[in-house]
Amino acid sequence: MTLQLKTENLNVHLSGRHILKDISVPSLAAGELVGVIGPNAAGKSTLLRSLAGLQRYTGIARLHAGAGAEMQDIARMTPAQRIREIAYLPQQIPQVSSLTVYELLLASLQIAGLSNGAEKDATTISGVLNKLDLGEYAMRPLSELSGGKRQLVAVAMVLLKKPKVLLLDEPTSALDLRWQVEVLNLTRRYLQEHNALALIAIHDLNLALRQCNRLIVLNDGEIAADCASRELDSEVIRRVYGVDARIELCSNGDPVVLLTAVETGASQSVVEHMNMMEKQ
Amino acid sequence: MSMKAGPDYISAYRHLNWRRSFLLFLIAASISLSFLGDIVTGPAVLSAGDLLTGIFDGSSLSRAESVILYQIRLPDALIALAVGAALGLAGVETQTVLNNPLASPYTLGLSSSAALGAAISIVFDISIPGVAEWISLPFFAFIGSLSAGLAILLMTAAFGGSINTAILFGIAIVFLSTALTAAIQYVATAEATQLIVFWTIGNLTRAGWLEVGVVSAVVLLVLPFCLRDVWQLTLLKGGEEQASSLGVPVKRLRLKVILRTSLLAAVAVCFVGTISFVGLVGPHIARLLLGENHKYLIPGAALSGALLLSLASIVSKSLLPGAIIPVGIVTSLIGVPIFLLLVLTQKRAHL
Repeated sequence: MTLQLKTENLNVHLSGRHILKDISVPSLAAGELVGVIGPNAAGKSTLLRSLAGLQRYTGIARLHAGAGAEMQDIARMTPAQRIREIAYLPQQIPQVSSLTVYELLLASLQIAGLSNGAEKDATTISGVLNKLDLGEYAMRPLSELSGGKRQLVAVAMVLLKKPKVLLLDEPTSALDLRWQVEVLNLTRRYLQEHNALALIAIHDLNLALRQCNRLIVLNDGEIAADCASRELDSEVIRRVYGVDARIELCSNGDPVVLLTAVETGASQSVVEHMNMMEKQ
Repeated sequence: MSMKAGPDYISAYRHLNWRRSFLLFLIAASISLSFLGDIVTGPAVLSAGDLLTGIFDGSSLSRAESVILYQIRLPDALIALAVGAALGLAGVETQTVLNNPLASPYTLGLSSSAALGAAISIVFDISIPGVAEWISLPFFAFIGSLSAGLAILLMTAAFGGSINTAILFGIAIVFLSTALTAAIQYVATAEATQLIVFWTIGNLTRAGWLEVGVVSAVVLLVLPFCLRDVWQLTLLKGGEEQASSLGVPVKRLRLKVILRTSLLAAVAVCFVGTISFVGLVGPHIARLLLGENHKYLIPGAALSGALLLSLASIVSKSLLPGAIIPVGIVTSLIGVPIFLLLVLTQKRAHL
């Protein structure tokens, strides 16, 4: 049996509010890059935190980590097991301090229990840093890095552990255009090379449509849609975000979301006006 | 795009660490010098040469000289180092776990509550039967500082908000315990009041060999536990969310640190009283020199604290000829401008 992650009736209550309501995600498999989209406060981060074992939940969230492993409830895994298999990238980017990039990564290896002597650690770290083009920053303190570079360092911290499941909470929020695409390309390549899967909370619908092969749309703690990226219905976007949008294929065949109008009183009346014109 | 291989990093990292070891050695060397300076300064005019030979060969001194050296100068100079190290250690750990550059035993109210705990036990004559005062007094001080530390953890957890608010709760605790200590003085005997005043303003001159032994023992006992957590503390500097997602038990770490720092603050306060700013400034000096890798920062902060208090002790004996100003006054006077400087520079580095 290969890598598999699924949830059944996952519920999360946070200080009296029902944040996630009966989330059932049937069987995510190796190689899948799943975009978790939805408006603010839809529960995207909470879903990822639950799957990372950082948020208490009721219901079922199970992981089968691949050959030789058993199907296990994420809440019942030992912290050591969980940290080895699942990596979570928080929304907050690493804070400014005089800690050097190299030492932060070295500390990550140590804490994850993956340190293997100075030489091997250095090789592991250099491999990840080179992938993210961070080599020249290795010995610099985090305080000298821009927000975007620090977000890349956070990505490096996640990849360093070679996990089976990547849970990335808005990994591209501070990145420029090139690195938004680059990080997602890198993630896809990682999934292929390591037979892993990833869930990625993301606001940029176009980036999600193009890069993810599956999309889970959350709205107010419920799953509004769970489909292959190419099958995303513009009706779902309209309902969930309250905007008028079309999904079209651009000249090279990739889907693009076009925002036509925001559903406010004004645009409503325009639509009504148009309808009346049609009838006449 | 510059590609670098593992060996490049190893040599760069080794170089960085070699530099840090050298800086640690420099601080230690400065401590030896300051220690000698501390021994040869004092109201009684004694020749430095005589005293220094006296350390190694007691018989070369007159009886009076020998009393001054062994009963006054040496214990005072040694307790300055031990208390300085305790405060530096406590300061750096609280700054890291509370993620606040202004945290220290003094600014969090641990010191003032330790003094309150000790004062309550003296004034109301609370003691543990069959236990000597040099154990029971630090114990009650520890109860005081630990209550303050736990209160800060509970308040930051309950009221949510950023961990930055910890320092505001700390200030509230300073006000509260200072007020309570002042209130207690009304019912205290003249003798007890004198002790309470001693605790409110740090003073090295009451310490003897027993006190030196107790404070040093506590520092040496706590240090290995701090060193065991260096990677967790280092990773925490990258941010709390990042650290806990990588498996650092942040809440437990915070609790452990509060336990350790309360103990350090308690023994320091019991035997020399409240000393401000050493626990705040010591870690910053270490951080400036050594960076945030706690493997170096923790010993560095302990050494910097020791050096600072030793220097302050020399100043306290040389300002007024023939008199010793309580060292707590000196650290406050020097500490306040440094504290303001820290506040201003931290603000610029978006605190």
